Amino acid sequence: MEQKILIVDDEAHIRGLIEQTLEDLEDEGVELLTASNGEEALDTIQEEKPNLVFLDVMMPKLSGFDVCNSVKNHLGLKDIYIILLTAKGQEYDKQKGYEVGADLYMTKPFDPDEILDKAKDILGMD
Amino acid sequence: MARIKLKNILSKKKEAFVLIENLLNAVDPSIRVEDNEGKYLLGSIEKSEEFWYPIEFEDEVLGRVIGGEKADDVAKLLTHLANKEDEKKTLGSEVLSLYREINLIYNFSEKLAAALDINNVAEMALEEAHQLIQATGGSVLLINDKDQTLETIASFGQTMQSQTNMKVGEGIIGNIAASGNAEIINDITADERYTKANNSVSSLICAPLKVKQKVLGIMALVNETTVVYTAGELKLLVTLALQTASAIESAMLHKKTVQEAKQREREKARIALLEAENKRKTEELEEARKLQLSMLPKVIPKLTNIEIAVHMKTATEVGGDYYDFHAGEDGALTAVIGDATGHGLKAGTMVTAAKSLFSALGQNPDIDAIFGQMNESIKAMKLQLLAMCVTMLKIKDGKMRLSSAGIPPVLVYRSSSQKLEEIDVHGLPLGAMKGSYYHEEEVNLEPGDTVLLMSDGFPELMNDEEEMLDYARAYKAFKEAAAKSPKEIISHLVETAKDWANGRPQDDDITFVVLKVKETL
Repeated sequence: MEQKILIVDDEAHIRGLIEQTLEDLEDEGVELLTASNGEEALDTIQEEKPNLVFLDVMMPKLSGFDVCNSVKNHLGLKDIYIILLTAKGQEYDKQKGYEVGADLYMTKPFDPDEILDKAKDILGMD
Repeated sequence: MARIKLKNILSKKKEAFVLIENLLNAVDPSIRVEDNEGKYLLGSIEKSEEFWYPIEFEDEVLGRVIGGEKADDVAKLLTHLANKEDEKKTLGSEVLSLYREINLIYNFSEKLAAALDINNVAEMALEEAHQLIQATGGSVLLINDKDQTLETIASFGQTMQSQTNMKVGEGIIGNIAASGNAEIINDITADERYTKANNSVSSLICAPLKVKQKVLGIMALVNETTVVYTAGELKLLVTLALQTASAIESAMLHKKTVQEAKQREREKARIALLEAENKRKTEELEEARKLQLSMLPKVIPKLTNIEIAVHMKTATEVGGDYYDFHAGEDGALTAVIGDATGHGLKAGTMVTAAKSLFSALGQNPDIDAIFGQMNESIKAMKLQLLAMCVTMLKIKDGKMRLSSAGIPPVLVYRSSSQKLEEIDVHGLPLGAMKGSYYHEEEVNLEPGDTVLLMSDGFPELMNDEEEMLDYARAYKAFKEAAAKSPKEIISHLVETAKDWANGRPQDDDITFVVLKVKETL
């Protein structure tokens, strides 16, 4: 079955940078999906059931915390690996992220190599 | 694989797809767009044989637009979009590269903070630099402060150095270490500092390891073939080098601190050992002193015809002096003064042996026989070069017989003439040689005559200018007080010793035995 990665960020350039970081995975059959807000993210997650989600926290209307909470605790989609990717650096925010069920908390500016390595690891690729 | 893919630009998920689809419908619905393999991407499903126009990017054909005149314009539009996509990706690469650098420096700082070993720090630094800067070799060198040579502490691949360590100021690397300025040399052979030793590499990028303007060493990356290193790469290397220098300085300080702490511990242990040894020696000396003093008679004989006074002052390391008396039922008095060879417990052992023998043999009237037996007995004990110097005398009926074995002469002060007589009887110390011969001397004693027995501690007493009292002064001191009571004589001799020494501690025991014949025998 085709594996999918969803990239959620309200800033187009961040979506673009993460896509560019992961674009080589497309040659190995991975589909890269994007969403620009929390509501769109929830819809896409329910429809596409991605294996991995890179989820920004600071988004209008529905934050990344809310999306994560819904996915993990209300929609029963616990198997979807969620990485919160955010500029918020307080220990409190990290704690909150794990409380709502995030699998990993990464800060911006992200390390492209770390993003790619993590994606390959989650998808079970070399 | 092409850097730009047409299917990515025209992906249904992208905004561009909808816009171009609407455009095609408006302009010419028969136009069809394919990728470079002929695969359908957009527009008319039917494939016509009409002319096609390439969608080009640099020297590559990404795909084609098939259709009438308008197809050419569509092809140009898609070519423009491809170029825009390329620009976006180039910018994206630049940003990702900067993100990579920031994270690398952050991670490197974290690792450095935990590193305490200099070589480990240098290896980490090279590894980090190599991740970002193209190189086929690299090394970290530190300046040896003593001889100003550059010593390699980490390296990989090719290096710039020759077999022997180069000096600060020599060659390209040495020059950079001397100047403290980071440099890029894209063609080493064209540099005037080039030497044949550098012939395995073509390009160099190098930064000094500096802490507060002091150059500790350098970090250099080299490439076998010519590359064009950028100013941005040099800035990055300088940043890594500065962090590395600081970490190396901390590591050196840590190493020095650890070494100093170990040295202090060793010193503490050494002092503790010395103190324990001193304590042991002091206790041993005290034991020796107690043993020696315990051999002395507790009671000095009180005789009707002879007045006796004694004095012994031991040295810090007791010298084996000894005296003893025996008052016979026939009225004879036997007195002995001895000085065992050696010091401390060894001398004490000899005194113990001598006392035992004196107790057993002292009543024998013949002193030479006593000495003969004591000599054989002490020799038989095999006390390893220990011997006993001794004088023994017997006074009875106005006559004194005596024999000596290696001790200062007996002095007799004649009351009638007020003159001193020295009675020097030669004999080897008891225990020195088997079968030694001893003989006796006999003199008369008149009322008022005074006999002095002393060990060599008094005549051989040193003063603070390392001068010896000597026998002449010792005799003079005795003569000065000889007419007085034995106690007064002792006091005078003790005072003489104290004045002479002038504070210098005595090296040997000082012992006096004074015997004065009372006015009526």
